[in-house]
Amino acid sequence: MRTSLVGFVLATLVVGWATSATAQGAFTDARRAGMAGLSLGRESGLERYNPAYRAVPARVTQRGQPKFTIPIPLGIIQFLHDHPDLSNDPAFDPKSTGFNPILVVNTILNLPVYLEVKQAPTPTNDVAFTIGRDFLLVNLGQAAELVPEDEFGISGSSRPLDIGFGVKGFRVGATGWLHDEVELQLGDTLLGFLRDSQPAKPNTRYSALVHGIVEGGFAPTVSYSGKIVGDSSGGLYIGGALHYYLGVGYGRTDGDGGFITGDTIFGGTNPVTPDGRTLTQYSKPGNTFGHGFGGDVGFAWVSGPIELGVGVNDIGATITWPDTRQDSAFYRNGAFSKPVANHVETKTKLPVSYIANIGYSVGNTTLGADILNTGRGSVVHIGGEQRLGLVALRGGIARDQRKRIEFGWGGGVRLGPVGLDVGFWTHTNSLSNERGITMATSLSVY
Amino acid sequence: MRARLIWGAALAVMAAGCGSGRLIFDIDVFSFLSAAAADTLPYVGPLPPGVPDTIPVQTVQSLGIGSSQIVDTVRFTGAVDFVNSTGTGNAVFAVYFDSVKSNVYTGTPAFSVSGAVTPGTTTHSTFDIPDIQTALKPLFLKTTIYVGIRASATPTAGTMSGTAKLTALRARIVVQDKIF
Repeated sequence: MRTSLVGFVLATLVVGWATSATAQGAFTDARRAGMAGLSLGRESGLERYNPAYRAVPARVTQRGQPKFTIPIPLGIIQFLHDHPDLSNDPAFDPKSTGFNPILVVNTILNLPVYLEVKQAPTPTNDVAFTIGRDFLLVNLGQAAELVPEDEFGISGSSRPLDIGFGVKGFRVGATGWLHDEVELQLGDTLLGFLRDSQPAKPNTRYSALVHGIVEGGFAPTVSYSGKIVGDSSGGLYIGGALHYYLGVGYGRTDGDGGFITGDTIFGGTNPVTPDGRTLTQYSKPGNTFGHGFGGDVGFAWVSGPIELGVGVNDIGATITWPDTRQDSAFYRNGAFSKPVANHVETKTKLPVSYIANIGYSVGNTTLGADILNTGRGSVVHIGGEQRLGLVALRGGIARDQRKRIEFGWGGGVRLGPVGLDVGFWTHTNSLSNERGITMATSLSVY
Repeated sequence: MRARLIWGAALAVMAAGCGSGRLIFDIDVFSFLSAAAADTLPYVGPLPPGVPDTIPVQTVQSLGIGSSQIVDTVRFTGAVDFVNSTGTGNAVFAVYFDSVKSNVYTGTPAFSVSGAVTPGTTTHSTFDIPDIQTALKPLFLKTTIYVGIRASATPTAGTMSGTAKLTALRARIVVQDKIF
């Protein structure tokens, strides 16, 4: 029982804050850290989200772009120093009385690759419970601020495979696709109880909405990208791709769960009655493939030192699953389920992703900005780099998926084919509303 | 008396994931006792043979958040009215806790409150126990705790009788955060 509670708490916390973790971008380049996550090169997924960029050559006016970077994981040294015997560290052992779920979650959300120069503090307030036979009030103190008012969760839409061949801008290939979402939203009564310290009411349902989906497959794709206007110094590039999505499998659940109080809060044999219901739909691998059409479009405009682009992915990507099973499940004084339908047709929809970017590069100065939205809110990066001989100075500002403003600053020195970069960036992807600061270090090979 | 705190314990576990301070439980024990009509107990002194001066041992579903945790303090506050019918002397209202049902009344009380009484009068006695014995504190982390109440009387002369009536009882339990 204890282990399952621990698992539940961990899972909930990981899901709750993983969104912001992904929003920060798990980059391994100190140069990006120094610009609050902005990438001035092509490694940030421009080609993934904007098909026109397949045709855009590297910017000749932009200097100092390395061939690749190697992270220097000082954070691992720090972590191993703090936890020299990890396998026997009680803080990471759920069976130990010293198990610390907050530390575990923070470690997951802030992988100790880089040095945490300022840990994001977690609330350390008292939590008070006022209990009577017909009264229950919970005061979480400052921790109540962490109870999400809005829907929260994690989602992603990725393309783990992209193979093909092309001639003169035209390309034929296949793309793997994967879409996942986990969302949770507290109901008004539960939100008021936890966040606003409202007393529990008798005969009241306290619940949360739950939604989860995972689906994947592959998509034969034809695409085109090329310059339609311009000369050697720039031009207008367009790109488009048409996908025929073939879904190998998917599973989805939509429901809500919680508990119902009795006539008297602590009056009956069971103070609360668990109550839940969900509709589960799935098409297993081996069933008839799901299918659907969708497309990507994008353009990029390059003119001297200026470059801008816009790309949109998975437009109209609705997948029809012809062989779906549906089951409903309930829980109230016991669990039971019943099949609703089998071999029925259902539909799912891939989220539309978009990216917009702009860059300006002249002399030793490079400035840039981008907006990326993968279906769960926009992430904005603005930053720049100034090179002064062997030294580079960088700075940036970002807005993450929690709509928090983050900052980045740093610099680097280049010695021939090798550069050493240091970047600091603030983050709130911890169990806290206060920012932490991470120092990233990496080697760049030019 | 059956204070079902399972729900509170579950919430405590949940809350522990959000903070690392203390857990404070402020429990209106009287509300549970009065609903079970266990807030009143007659007393007689000297006690005639065969007449009990205690209530049957009650089972309380307590916090149940792990025996390895640390209970910082357990504070009791409340009041007892000694409604005396006859005689003069001293009446005592005592509360016992134990983890073994059969041992509840064999030990010393967790706390007691007394009042000097006279015939036909009601003596109002308040109490504030800042902290109970250290040995009893771990009991409040267990799933089940057994509780007993004894009302006794010591007359200055002759006999005395009356009723001890609990009018308020609150428990404030402070648990240090090591919930897992």
